[in-house]
Amino acid sequence: MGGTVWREHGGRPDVIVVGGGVVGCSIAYRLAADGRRVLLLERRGLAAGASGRNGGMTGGGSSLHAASSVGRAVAALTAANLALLRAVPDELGAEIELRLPGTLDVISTPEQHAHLAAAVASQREGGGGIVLLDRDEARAVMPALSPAILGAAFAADRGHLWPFALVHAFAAAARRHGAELRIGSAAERLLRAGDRVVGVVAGGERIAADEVVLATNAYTPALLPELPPGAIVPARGQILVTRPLPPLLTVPFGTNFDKEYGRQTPDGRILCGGYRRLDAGEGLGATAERVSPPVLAGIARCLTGLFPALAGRARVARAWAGIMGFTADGLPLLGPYGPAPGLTLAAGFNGNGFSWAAAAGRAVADLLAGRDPGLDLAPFRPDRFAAGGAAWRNPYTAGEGVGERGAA
Amino acid sequence: MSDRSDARPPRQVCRCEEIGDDEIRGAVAAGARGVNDVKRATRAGMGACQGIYCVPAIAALVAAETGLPMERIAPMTARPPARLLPLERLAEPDAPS
Ligand SMILES: Cc1cc2nc3c(=O)[nH]c(=O)nc-3n(C[C@H](O)[C@H](O)[C@H](O)COP(=O)(O)OP(=O)(O)OC[C@H]3O[C@@H](n4cnc5c(N)ncnc54)[C@H](O)[C@@H]3O)c2cc1C
Repeated sequence: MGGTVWREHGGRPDVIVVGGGVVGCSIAYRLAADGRRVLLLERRGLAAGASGRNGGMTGGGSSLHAASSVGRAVAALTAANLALLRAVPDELGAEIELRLPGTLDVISTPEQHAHLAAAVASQREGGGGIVLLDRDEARAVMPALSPAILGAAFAADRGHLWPFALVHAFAAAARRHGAELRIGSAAERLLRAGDRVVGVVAGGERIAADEVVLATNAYTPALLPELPPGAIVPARGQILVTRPLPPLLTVPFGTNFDKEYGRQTPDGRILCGGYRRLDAGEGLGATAERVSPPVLAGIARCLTGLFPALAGRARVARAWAGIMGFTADGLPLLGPYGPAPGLTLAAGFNGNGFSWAAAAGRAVADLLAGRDPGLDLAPFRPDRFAAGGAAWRNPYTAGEGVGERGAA
Repeated sequence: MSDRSDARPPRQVCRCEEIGDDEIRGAVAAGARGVNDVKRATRAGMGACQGIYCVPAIAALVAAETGLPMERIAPMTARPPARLLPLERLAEPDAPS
């Protein structure tokens, strides 16, 4: 493994990346591969945040932003990400269990049908590989689906991966390129010289750098209190996982506007998450990584409802909670933070970090190197929200009520 | 993962997930400093026993590899339910937590 030679020689980092989730590790890798001296600070452990507690679905994240320049920018980010994920085994020599059999967005109500029919029509205009299936066609793709469903939207180029493995692949690659990953080290605050950000304070130590990148997802407002209220809000998600079962879920699924989702891992476990709206008024704004019985019951009902064959066979092995960073408009904050030169944000990845993080890492490296990232990043500008409050129109919380968002 | 050249065959530490001591040492070499870190890196302790059998062994390995005292090795977070629960039982309205 390459050493952090720059540090042994008393040098200072060029870039400090705060946060050791998939986003921070992806960024650290690309920057280090560019020859930058990178110091990554992670206060808990690699993948200890959302990146180690998620569903592992990838390739989605665009169907709720269809048919607009924003939708195209999200689709381009997602496509760039997928290309980078496909390259990971060769590029990084890591097995991330990437499987891309496509996904089914299962339709159980007429309302979901109307929404998906419109989304499919508008995405097809943009060339997206999505088709609407009737019940029998959907059950031909995934025979375990209940005959009570109304249909499904099949999306190609989507699937799932092993989230830990991706985070660790990026982290190991960053280290090989000389980055120092300091685990157990919390950035307490940004170091400033006038407007400019010139480093961070961590463990009482002032660490200077040319650039600081915050990949702190839900926790970003603590380091950047001037972010308008509501720009990034913590959102608790919960997942349960069964003991391994024979192959039943041929493709990962989503349902109910993607609020519920699940997949079967290559070793047979079925994972399912969702039902944040049953989190007793706590889902949005909550930062405690605690499961709640109504949510787990909802998730269990989702599984037994969609897949009747699971009743009597599936046994729940574990359940957990994780904290996502939801944003006012459902889009990440990605790019230089205008009001504070020297500061770049890569935060607020909503429920889609694994559809965007690899591309975000490359985009940040491109931006800091003055290269054209080849992506339309305008919709993701981190300073897009007006001071004084960000109007909440996050599509992933549609129908959940603004009052629940828990933001000041 | 680990590039140690010990001739000794790996010893299975986590039986449920079939993780050997070599993998756990590799995780420590890659920066793991607690049982949770090892779990995230290797899946050790995530199986049916929920770590009841293997966590002490993992913690001891981390301590041995890092030289940290046992009480500094962060324990693993318990993930409910501790016993395997039939899915349809959890789906009932009065399901236990
Ligand atoms: C239950 C659940 C299910 C999900 N399902 C999916 C899915 O199927 N597909 C998908 O794409 N996404 C999913 N997500 C979302 C996905 O996990 C996130 O978008 C992604 O992990 C974000 O990565 P990140 O690196 O930005 O954030 P995180 O992984 O949260 O990393 C942020 C890191 O910053 C560290 N940190 C914070 N503040 C400081 C500080 N001051 N100093 C040092 N370190 C600090 C934290 O400890 C943390 O490790 C899900 C999330 C949850 C919780």
